[in-house]
Amino acid sequence: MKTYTEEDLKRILSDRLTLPRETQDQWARTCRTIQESAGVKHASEKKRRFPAKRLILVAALVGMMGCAAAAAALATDTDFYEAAFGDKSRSSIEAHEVTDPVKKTTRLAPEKQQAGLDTETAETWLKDVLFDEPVTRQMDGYTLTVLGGVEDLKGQNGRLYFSLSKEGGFKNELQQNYYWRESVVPGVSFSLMEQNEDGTDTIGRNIFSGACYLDEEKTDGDTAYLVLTYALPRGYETTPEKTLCMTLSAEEGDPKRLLVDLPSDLSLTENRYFKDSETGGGSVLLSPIGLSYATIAFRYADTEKAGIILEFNDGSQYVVTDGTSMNVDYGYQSQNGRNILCFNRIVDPDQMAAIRINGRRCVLDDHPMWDQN
Amino acid sequence: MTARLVRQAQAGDGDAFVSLMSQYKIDMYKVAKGILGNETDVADAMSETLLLAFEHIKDVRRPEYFKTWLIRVLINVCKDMLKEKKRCGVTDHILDRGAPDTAQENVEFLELLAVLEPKSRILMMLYYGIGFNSRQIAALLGMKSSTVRTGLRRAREQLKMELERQEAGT
Repeated sequence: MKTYTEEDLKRILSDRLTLPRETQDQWARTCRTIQESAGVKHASEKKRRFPAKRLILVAALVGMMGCAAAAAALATDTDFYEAAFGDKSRSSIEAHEVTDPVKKTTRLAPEKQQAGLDTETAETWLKDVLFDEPVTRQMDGYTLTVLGGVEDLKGQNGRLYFSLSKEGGFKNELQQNYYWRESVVPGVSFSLMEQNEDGTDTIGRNIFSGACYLDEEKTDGDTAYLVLTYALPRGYETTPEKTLCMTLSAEEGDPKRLLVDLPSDLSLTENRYFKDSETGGGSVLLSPIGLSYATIAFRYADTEKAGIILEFNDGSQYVVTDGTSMNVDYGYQSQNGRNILCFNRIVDPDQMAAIRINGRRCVLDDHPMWDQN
Repeated sequence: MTARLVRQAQAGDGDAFVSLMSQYKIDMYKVAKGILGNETDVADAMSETLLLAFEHIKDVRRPEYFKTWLIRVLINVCKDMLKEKKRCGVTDHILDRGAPDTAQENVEFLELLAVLEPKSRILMMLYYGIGFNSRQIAALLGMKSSTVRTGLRRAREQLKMELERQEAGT
């Protein structure tokens, strides 16, 4: 009996073929048309080189090609930098009382100061954060396009940038200055799941803890641009394959879920280790987008010293958090006792003089020989 | 070389564009053949893809991904042609085994396609023929990468069963 081995399949399907004569002739004719039209300088003249019917067909085909190709023009790396780490995408917020729409509890949200984007630092540390092939999925009139992302795997945090459009537009539904992922787009929530390794389509476990906000600069009534800022629980920081899950709540029946597999090659940031200079007992893992540290090593008795401050070589500071402000996009305390903070701006680890955590000063350690955990 | 041609083509150089596309002509043929089957449709799809690629090559942000972008355009053209044929009541996926003067190197290729189901053809072609991995194929076809892996496994099983069935029938 005839059989095909893996090698047979690869050889037969990858071997060079000879195009049938008619196919070759049609190819050559189309190439000539293109070469001729390329020689025409003016666009109007160029269009006339193509028969009207062909132009209509091309336009129709472009319209039907799907959102993925079109999505490539939707955002640039700078759009991402600005959305995730700039001050144009959202405004600074004064301290105010907020109500969790799900738990119905209220709390006082501390002030939050945004900083202008440091484009040079972003370019240096976060190159190529947008996917070359934006991934688009549709469901029930919604179109979700994942545009890009960056992760600090060691520091267990990341950012994801995506757009969501809705047939008929969002009108005034979108919520600004909300940081719960269930409330930015009413009726829609987002989560990050671990993909199953066994190749089945059933969804894996939720590995996401984080927040979501609108890129207010780019968002309009038809398309919302959103940033997910997230922390990865310990153990999942090396999970390369993740799925973005959008859940639509339903008035009747089960909620519907739209799944988007994320590329495993998210841009990764580097880290620097900082060590407690007084006791040597605690270490901080810093990246341009966040930091993590063991809480037990930095417990404080004096509440006046509570807070985290980054000190730069030029004397400037970034007050990450203190008693009155919380200048991060998300904070998370992991089960193994590490605090993970997602910065609301980009920082240059190479320009850091020290990090102060609850009054303890940590300086760069060039020889981190210990396990940071 | 490819990156230079992409940049020249983006600047409007028609000759560079044609040189660039000639590198991918055979891959395009294989993909279109895997989806459409019929030689006339394959030739039309390749021509339309040429025109679309020329119109939109400026959208390519990174030249190293030009091939992926091009194959995506081709797949979308092929899908649209299948939709149109279906709308007109024409049965799709009929595999044209080629004219009597089909080149010898194509015979084995066409024999293999003939025993594959239409859905399996495109997966096998992209995986074995073009060399994309399951993640790239998933992005191209708009499905989960796990679905692609499952589809490839089923395609291999289906191929084996079909060959057994043919053997039993002879």
